Amino acid sequence: MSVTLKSIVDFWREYRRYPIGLVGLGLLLLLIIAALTFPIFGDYQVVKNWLTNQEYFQDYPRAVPPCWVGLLTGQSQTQTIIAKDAEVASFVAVEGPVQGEDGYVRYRITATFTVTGATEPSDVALEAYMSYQADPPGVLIEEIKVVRPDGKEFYLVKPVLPGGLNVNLPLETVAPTIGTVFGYPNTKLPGADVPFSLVGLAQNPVVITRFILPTLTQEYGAELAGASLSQLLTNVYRAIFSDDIAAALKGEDYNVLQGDYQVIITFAGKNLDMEIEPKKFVVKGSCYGLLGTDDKGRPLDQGIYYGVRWALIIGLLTSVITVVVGTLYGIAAGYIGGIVDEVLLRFAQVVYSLPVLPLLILLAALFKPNIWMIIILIVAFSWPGISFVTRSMALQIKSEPYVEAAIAAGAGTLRILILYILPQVLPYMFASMALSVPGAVIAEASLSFLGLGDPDLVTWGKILYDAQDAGAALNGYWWWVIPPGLAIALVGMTFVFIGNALDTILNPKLKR
Amino acid sequence: MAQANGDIVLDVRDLKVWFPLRRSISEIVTMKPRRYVKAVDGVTFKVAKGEVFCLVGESGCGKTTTGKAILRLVDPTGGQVLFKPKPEILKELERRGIKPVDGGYVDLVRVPKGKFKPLRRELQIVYQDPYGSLNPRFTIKRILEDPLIIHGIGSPKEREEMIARILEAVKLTPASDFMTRYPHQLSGGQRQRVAIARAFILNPSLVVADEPVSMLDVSIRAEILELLLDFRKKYGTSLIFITHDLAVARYICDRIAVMYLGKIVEIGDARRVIEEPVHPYTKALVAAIPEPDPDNRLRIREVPIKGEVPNAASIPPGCRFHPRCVEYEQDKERLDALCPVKEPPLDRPINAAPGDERLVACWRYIEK
Amino acid sequence: MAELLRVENLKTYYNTLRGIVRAVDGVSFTLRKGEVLGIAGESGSGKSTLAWSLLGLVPPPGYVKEGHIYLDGMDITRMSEAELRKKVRWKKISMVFQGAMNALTPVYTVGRQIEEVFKIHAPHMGKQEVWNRIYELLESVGLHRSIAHRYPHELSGGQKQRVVIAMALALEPDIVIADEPTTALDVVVQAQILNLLKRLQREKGLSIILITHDLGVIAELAETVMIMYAGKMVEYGPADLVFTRPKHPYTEALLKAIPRLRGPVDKLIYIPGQPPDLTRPPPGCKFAPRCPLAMDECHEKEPPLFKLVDGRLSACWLNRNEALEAGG
Repeated sequence: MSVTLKSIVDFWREYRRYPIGLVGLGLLLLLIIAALTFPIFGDYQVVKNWLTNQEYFQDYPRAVPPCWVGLLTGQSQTQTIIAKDAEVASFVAVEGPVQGEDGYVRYRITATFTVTGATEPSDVALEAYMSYQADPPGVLIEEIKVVRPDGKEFYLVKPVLPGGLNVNLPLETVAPTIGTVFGYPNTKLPGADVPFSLVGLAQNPVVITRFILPTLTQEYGAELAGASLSQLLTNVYRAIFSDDIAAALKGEDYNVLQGDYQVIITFAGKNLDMEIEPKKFVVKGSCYGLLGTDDKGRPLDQGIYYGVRWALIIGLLTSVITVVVGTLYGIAAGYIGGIVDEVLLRFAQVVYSLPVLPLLILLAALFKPNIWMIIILIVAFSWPGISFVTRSMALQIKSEPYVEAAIAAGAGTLRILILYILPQVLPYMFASMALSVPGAVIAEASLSFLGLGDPDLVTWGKILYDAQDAGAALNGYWWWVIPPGLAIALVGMTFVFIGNALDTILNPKLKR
Repeated sequence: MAQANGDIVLDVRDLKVWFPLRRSISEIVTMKPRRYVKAVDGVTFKVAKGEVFCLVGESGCGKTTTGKAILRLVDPTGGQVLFKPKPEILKELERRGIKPVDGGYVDLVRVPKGKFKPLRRELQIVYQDPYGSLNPRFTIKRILEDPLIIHGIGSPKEREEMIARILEAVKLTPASDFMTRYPHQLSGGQRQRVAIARAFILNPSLVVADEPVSMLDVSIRAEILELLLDFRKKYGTSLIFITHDLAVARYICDRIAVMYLGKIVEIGDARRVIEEPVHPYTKALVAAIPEPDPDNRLRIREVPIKGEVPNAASIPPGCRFHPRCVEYEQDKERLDALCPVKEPPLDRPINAAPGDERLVACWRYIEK
Repeated sequence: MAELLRVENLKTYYNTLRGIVRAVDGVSFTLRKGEVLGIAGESGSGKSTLAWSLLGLVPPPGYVKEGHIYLDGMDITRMSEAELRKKVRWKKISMVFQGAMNALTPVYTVGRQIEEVFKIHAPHMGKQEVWNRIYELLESVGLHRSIAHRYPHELSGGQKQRVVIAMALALEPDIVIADEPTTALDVVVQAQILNLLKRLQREKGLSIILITHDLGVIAELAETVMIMYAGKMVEYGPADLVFTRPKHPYTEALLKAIPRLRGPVDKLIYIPGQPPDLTRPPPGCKFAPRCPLAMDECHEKEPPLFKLVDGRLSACWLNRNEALEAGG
């Protein structure tokens, strides 16, 4: 009985015959899944902090390409590790308290990670909740060292006397306090999140001059002859990961030493009572995720994943409103006819002939751009195209004898419009809805790209705007520019495929 | 057969339908008067109850426009269309504030569009094209139910019964089988029967049938015509039958009006007019019709007419037929002061046979 | 007179989703020089398909299944498209298509469109020669030569139909097929066009195949009449006989269904029912389900074309007794 159901089934049978339409439908399904699964697989915190809180992204490596690039180029990359809370345990171990024979209580943090890439990680960072209490002079840092895959130990902090003499003196006279190195209270910390950064240490002038340099001169004294202090200051961090430490220190060519590294921090103190709870461990690798990061460390895969939602919302909402407005306008003009038609048609033609983008730019600049406002603006300029077609359809249907027969039977205007004209226009509406999605997505992206988008929204256009702002193309950050562009194209393609299939089915003139 | 002086259902007086032509900018600027296509230019006739009244003529003569103007499907420019609805419809109209003219007539031209609805029950139309006149998205049942729903007639069950009855009346049986079908599943003849059923389901007093058989195969035309005549007989419906085919008109019409360029040139008893035409145009039409007689092959058919139909936007002065008229040509000296100058009225021909009620608009036959 | 065209057992079918439509199903006839053959039948009887077959222009999914069409001794069913175009179409056989007058290109003058025919089919002719011929052609169909420089929208329906006829005559073919040449025209113009065809046929000795549903039009022109029903020829013979003493019940019913201008106003008869679905035709005589005279035999066995004593052909079992022999 149900005519609608039957016609839907018939329609589907017909639709199936167009491979291009099926491809479009498959893509649409993927896009919808992407939009819906973001809460499950996506990281909402990332998106929330995207535009407003750049500190959130300090743990991410900046402007690094996607990790799969290594696979393509054959160049190995160092994976980025961002481990939090429970995950940290697999990278970071805490030992202690250990009562030494020398009367010191010791605690030790050991962080293990692997460097696989041709470049060193841009930082290795640890954050831990710490509380401690110790007799004066307080908590001492006995050593901070990096144990390298080649077995060498690179000391960042080591008990040494000024002048480089290593004498067996009581620890408290040769080891620095926690205050000297990190600036924390020496004897008592009631409890705080304490950050630790390898780069920070390797660039800390106090640490370099007091500990690192003496150690290095001890070991490589001869080789370092001629190197300036400023060179050493800038190159220490690289040297940690270099297969030729001396060369690296002098700024000469070196290779990154690949393999397992350990960062070991040893705390010591008299009657030391310490609680160390690692919260976060980060190795900022040379690549990140599926789509890399931008210059602020924001992971682009999350941004683009999230952008699907807005692309669909903007695209569909805009096209639906556009088509409904355009259709109603067109039908009204065509059906009522006469002077009303004339006025409506002229108005639509005027709107149609306005230069859209410049006007959108002007309006977006005048009003505070917000996404709903943008949708309304796009609609305001794109309905006339639809209305021209529906007007002529209404004109044509109006002159069908069966419509006149309905009028002769006494049917009122509303009845004619709803029962006779609308059902005929409906298929066209669906096709043009599909076909006007790409335009809407691109219009929004264009506005965002020009910096006139909704400032509170992560959209593909916004990502592209940031890329442009940061000179991404000039710096060769292709992973920042191409994926959002492709994503926009993909949404466009999806709906063009669907729209073309619909159009071919519903518009018999195009049928071959 | 009802006579013209019987119970008159429809009285059309000087009906005019002019379509304004679009003016160019220069015409608007120079304030040139608006020009019109005078599709119907002063048509007068009466239709009696139960009568089949024919409007014949070539394409563009205004016959269809006349029919539609009577039904207010196009808006008349002038004139009166006095129509006598059934008493209950008249009461409904009075309730809506429409005062009948004396004798229970309503001037259809003066009824505001918003108050016309009750009259739609009384005035129906059957179209030429059985393919275009049925909504392709509706089932036959829905097509026939629509007029009933519009006028709030019956419960769904009663309506279904009415539809079944009318389908049987147009010989689409079994009715239940046809109800669920769509127009494209029917043949042309079957569709036309649905169209007739739709026109008669509201039991109207007047039906305009606009070339209802000209798109059908010859072998089934008679069947459709018979149906129309059956309904007319059963319900006393008056029919305005519009056709270009004089032979068909001869078979089914009581009275006939021949139209040329928006005016009636000859009106009268159908058989008399066709068999003994008086107006030169009617004569030409009759002479032009090919009959299935093999002897015709041997001679060239003489059609006493010159040139072609002029544009309805530039109607010749005087008698609008005179530039094509061979009789004016033959009798030019006498008629030169009349035909090209003065429009002939519809009048009785001077030497009409007794009992011949026909009227002719030709100076040659009405001027003493 | 000389035989120009001989069609033997022509079958033209269409492959459709619903099955094979036997649009023309075993039609045979001959056409002499100067003969006018009228082919009459209702919509769907296969008369237009027959015409297209004669030009090798059956639109897909249609095709000539079997049979022969001999034109001047050549079998055109065996010819390639290129040969047809070079030797047959427009030179030997041309056609006035149904509705062709509304298919004139609105952007070219009438003369240019006729010139196109020469360009395609007679490229060797010089421009001056072609244009002289165009003027000549227009005058021969009763139009002024200035019409050559007008656009189709400036012409009336009758003038356009004359132009289309002039186009068909451009290369002086032996046979002109006219498919419903007057259907869209008003009666007065129709009469003029029929007169034109009559005159052309007499003056040029043209053979015309006139295809129409209107028996009145056939009577105006045709010397021989073929009545088709459901892809079959049901009656064939001289017009005088077919119109006055039809032998096939279908022909008889058709004639009685036509309202007349003269004579007594009888009740018009009609043929009940509708033509058969050509994908599933009835087993016996195709007309049997609608035939008032049908016997049991008619529903079972298809009648052959009987050749009658008076020389005509009729496919009805009732004519068995008058038959000389069972033909086609």
